[in-house]
Amino acid sequence: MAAAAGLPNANTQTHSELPSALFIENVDGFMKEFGKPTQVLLEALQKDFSRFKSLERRLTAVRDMLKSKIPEIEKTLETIKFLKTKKDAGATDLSTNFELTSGVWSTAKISNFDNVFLWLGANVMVEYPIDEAIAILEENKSGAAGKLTSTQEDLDFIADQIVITQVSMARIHNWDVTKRRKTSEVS
Amino acid sequence: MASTLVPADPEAGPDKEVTWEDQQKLNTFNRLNAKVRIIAEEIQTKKEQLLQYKDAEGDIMMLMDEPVVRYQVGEVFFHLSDGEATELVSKHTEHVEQLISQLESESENHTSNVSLLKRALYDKFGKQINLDD
Repeated sequence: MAAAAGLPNANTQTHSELPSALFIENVDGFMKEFGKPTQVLLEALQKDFSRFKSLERRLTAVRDMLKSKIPEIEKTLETIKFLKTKKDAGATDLSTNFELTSGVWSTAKISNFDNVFLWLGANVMVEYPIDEAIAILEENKSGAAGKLTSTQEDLDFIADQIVITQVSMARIHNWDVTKRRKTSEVS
Repeated sequence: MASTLVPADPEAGPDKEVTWEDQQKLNTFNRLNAKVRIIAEEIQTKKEQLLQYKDAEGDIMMLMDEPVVRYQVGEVFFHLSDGEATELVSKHTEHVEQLISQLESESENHTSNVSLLKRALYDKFGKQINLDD
């Protein structure tokens, strides 16, 4: 990474294990110290840009997955909490229409408001008292929300590094163009 | 933001240096714009949900004389009395309206910060940058 290649980097941002972009305070001074042709630096920055973009894609996929997971958990919680309010109101039974199979609906009468079965994945279903089920799902929800926040923070950091890289590339390119123009004016 | 810094203009003077503070302004400008876009999508989704609840309100009223209202919670339809159904739908409607209003004020906040940043950046860099799509 150009940023890591021992080049002086004025970028003071760091975030967990993620790479930081190269930020240049003074282009003229930096390029004199760098000593190599502009093209070399621009190529390195282009590689950085690609790497940041691919990190961005990966993090965006994780974020979108978490974003869709939370409403799913909320839907489940809403249903169980609804049963609980029925229970607390002293209901003895509750009729529902449920999808027996795709496109076919049937009626069921719920008379047990004390327990529910939670699908834990891997073909495992466990019976829980209703309060415990609610607690488990609330924990799942806050776990997902926490991961979403930290993924978004990672994404924000990478977005910053992308902008920094683009700005650095544009400034170096402009510096190079100006330099060439001056050189051709002199000659 | 691919064309943030425009190519060097032969008539213009040398590029103004970008300080770390300037860079952070650009970063924030970019972040806030992205947030505004995301919030706009979320508001759209919530508005569609709100419409569904409003339609449901109407449907429940039409079922006034029916013994049972089938109200969807999660994946199933619970059999409720029309009183219960009315109560539930207005709770849901209120909740979504509140979320929409929160999102709208968040978006307004970000948009006004974006304007401030835009002005500050154009003030310093003028034609050297392009912050408009």
